[in-house]
Amino acid sequence: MKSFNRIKKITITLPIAAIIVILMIGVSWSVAAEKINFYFPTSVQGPLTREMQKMVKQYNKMQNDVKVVATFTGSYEETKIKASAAVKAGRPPAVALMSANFIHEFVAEDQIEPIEFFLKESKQTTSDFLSDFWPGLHANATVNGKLYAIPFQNSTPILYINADHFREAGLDPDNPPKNWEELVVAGKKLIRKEGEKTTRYGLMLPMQYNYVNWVFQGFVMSNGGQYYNTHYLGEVYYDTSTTRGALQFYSDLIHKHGIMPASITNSKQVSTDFFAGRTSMMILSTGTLSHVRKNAQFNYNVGFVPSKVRNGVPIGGASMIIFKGITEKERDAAWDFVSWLTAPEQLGSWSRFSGYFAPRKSSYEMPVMKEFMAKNKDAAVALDQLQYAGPWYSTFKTVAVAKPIGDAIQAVVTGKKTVEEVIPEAQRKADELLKPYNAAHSYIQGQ
Amino acid sequence: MMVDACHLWLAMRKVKYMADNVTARGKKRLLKPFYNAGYIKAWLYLAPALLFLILFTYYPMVQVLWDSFFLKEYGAEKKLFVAFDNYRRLFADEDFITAVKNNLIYAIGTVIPSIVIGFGFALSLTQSSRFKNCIRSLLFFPTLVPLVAAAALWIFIYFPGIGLLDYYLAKLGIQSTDWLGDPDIALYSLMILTIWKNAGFYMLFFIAGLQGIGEEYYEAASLEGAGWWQKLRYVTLPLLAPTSAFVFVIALIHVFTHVDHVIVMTLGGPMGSTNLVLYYIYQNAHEFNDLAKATTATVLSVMVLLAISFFSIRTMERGIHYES
Amino acid sequence: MASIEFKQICKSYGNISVIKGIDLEIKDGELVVFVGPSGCGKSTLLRLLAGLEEEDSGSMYIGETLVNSIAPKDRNIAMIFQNYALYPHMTVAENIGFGLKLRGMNKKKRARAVDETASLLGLKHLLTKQPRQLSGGQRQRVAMGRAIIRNPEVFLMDEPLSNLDAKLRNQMRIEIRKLQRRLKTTTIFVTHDQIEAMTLADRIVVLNDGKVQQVGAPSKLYSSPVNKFVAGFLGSPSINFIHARRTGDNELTLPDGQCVLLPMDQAQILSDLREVEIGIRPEQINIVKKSDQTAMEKNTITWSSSVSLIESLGSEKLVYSFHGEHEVAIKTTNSNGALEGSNIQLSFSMNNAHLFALNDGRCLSPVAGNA
Repeated sequence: MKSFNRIKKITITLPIAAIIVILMIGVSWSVAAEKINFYFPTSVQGPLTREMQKMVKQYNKMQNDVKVVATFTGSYEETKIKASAAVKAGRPPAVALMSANFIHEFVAEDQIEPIEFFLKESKQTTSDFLSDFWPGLHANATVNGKLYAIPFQNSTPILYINADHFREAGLDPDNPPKNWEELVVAGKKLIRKEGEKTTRYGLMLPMQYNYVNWVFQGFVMSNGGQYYNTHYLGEVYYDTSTTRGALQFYSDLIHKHGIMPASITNSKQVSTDFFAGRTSMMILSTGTLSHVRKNAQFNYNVGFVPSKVRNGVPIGGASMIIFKGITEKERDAAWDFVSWLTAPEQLGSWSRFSGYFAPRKSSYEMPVMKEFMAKNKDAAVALDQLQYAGPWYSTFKTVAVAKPIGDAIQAVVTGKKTVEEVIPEAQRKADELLKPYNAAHSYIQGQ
Repeated sequence: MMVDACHLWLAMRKVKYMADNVTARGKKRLLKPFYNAGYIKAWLYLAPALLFLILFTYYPMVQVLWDSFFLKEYGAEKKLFVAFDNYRRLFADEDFITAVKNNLIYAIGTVIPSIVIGFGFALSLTQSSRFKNCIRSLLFFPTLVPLVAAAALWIFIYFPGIGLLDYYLAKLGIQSTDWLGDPDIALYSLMILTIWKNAGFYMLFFIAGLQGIGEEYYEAASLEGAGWWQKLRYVTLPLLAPTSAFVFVIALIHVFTHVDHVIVMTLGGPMGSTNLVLYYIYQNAHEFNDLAKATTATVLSVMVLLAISFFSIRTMERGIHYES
Repeated sequence: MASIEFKQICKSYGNISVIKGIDLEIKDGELVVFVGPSGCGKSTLLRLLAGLEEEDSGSMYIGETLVNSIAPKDRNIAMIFQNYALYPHMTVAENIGFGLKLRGMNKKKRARAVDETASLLGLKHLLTKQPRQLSGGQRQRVAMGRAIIRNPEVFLMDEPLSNLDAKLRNQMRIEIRKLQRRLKTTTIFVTHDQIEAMTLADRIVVLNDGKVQQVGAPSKLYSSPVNKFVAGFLGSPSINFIHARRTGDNELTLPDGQCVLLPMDQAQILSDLREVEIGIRPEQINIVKKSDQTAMEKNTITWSSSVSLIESLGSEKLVYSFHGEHEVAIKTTNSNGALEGSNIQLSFSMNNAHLFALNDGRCLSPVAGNA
């Protein structure tokens, strides 16, 4: 009886299995396209996510060799975590759009392919390839002289002003404050108070972790500083005159002039307060441009981040990387997709939609882009500022090393501690974190 | 995970009871338990769950413990045995100490108020009427909202100046407060959210517990001369002890296992003032590339949670005696 | 110790009226049993007196005091609940002394009082135990201890024996009776068990449908029920009812055509009623030998029927038979050789019967023999 059942089972399952196998073979024959995974983050959910999916669909439709499966993976940080997890699980995505200051971490773990590898096949040199990209972008895409990523969307901090408030305060909205002195003068004029209570601030900055560091890096650069060693991952310049000066300037804006609130305002709060007229100026990413364009119920204008010694801003954004640990076919497919997505046309259209600037100079040569720039003067300002842009801070254990100075800024902003107290502490903590890297890589006295 | 451990412990106790019953019935108490049919049967029933527990709970726990003695420096090739150095590094980390301190304040400041409030709600809403049922659902509603969504909602409530809270406080003449941006206040703002979210959940347990207390206990107390407070003190509270112990443990575990709101609202800031141990672990594992430290902190929190769990089972077992 | 008085007490839950105007006086030191079917309002009446329910109208007195608006704890009463309501987290001693503790008696005095009460009830060796460690009877006793320790004016007992097995129930019943005699505390005992009521009570209060049906000593209620309900509720097995039509001034005709002539004084009470029911207790029906027929008196009803079942109670037998289509029960020490399935001759004297009006069930006459 038992054996009969077994036979019966086999006689039933065999044909079914055969059919399934045939179907599977059939399916894979009929869809000969190479399927690859693409992880992407967006800083603003919703429209950007949809637009990215649209572009991927367009790519999938225009050719039959590659089918890209695009997965929205959340914020920049989440995307890094998910990609790392996928790599560890042995199933890396083929392509990911990765925050530019995390690239070197994937290189350190030997998880991504150098772009040279692909350029060689198309007989391009790296420097030829890079010459079309804005110079400020090169550093974050390169590790130890080797190119590992292709910039896709980029931004810098930029000053947004409420033109109506400027006019009302007797200031010229067409000339936003250019330097720190003008910023203080304008800020003081723009403040509105009801008794002790400030109902309108002159300026607001994003103060949450990571964003706070990025904007602050801009002020350190403006003050003539370096913030970190752009050529070496094991060094940050927290305990320097330029950094102290920039932080003292924050402190004065808040505690001396009352131009900024003494609170840890996050970027969402800052933009909301700007739209609500509770602050007359703000410094946020150029990636927020389209958001401001849509939501400001008043005349606004943009300007460079005010300078002290020089103009200077860090470049933020994300770049395309291609992972190791995938098949050769997948790698070819990945390169085909990345090449298409980072072509001038696509970068231009993404820039027009998102508000990020396009990393390729040639994107701006295109007529459609010229027309757009003529119409949107604010985008042109953002592009102009690019000549003063430097790379985004990026060190060994980037986020961990950034936290001590983030804490330091927050402590000064909220008035809990003075600049003199926090700066040495931040440097000490950062040095402690960087120790293993320095021990492994550089020759240090006493070792 | 800890709750699983509780379940397993209880299941094993049941195996023992079952086996004892079987032996008693068969009058074969002298037989070694290993050969006992009841034991084998009981273990067979338990096997599938146990297998998965071992695979997905105990094996990872042991693995984490093992890993806490090694260090693979970020970017390095090799994993080194460092004995207790990770523990030394962990306790030397000011951020970790801050996170532990915060977690203690957060635990005391959320567990006790949310239990007291939940109990208060339950006391006033035990008898059902249409009105009370409606209020009950309203109070329970926050529990149904995922913590992430609740956090997103409360960002707007806490929005300085124009948020709901400041809007109404302004009407009372109270100045705008930076609920999440002031390092002295932020942790307490998160605590209020947590209490708001959990009190209704605990209320539900207390309502069930209160409804399990026979009306005659109160009637007898009335006749014996008990007032409202004495009934609460001598009847309600003692009879509710098993429920309270259970809720207390659930609440404690909650405190150590939920940090969604930290991620959504403050990222542990400002100045680390809202960093909790679990978020500290997350940061170190995923953002700071210090897996060893994350692992070590995990071992310590697992130990704390295990202690809470076993303590809870003890009290729950003591509670069972009341039912007769 | 005190008397109790209910005056026009009414209580309803929503639209349902459960107590419909009750007047009742209970004398000091009396043990009164409220008896009636479930839903008759007996427990509600007890709980009204305890203050656990609030009356809609009427007044209640304990002693000279109007207690309507007095809090339960100040009415100086003690109550024993059906499931005892012992606190599972307290020891026997703590349970017994609970009331004294709440009333602020100091520890030493309390311990002495608990000790005395416990020895009175034979609980001394159990004082440190928790209720879950006790048997049903012991729990019952603890509940009594908690009631008597405060020396209240009134005991209220709400079906306190219903959770015990039959043997223990009898035993506890006797204990309660003895205790009450000794303490002389006015006691109201609620039960649905008429045997409990008959054996315990100084006076029984039969309740039905929210009204007092009859109040009196158990033997009085048994022999002279005021209506069909009381007659039917007390006695086991129940009284038998036989329908009868009035066919003359003093003539009744039974469904089987038999006629019986009533004495003229009884006939008067019938006034213009056309239909009545004859109630006859099982022990008043005799099984007679056919040969004895001649010895029958004039107002004796005799018929023959088959035996459907015989139950032996030891000294007595219960024989179930029929009158027409109605089953009748006979309780007798002398079954005259009746067997299940056999035909027997039955008779009863109208002197032992009660007459009830068919329309409202009131009893029309005291039975001639008992009058």
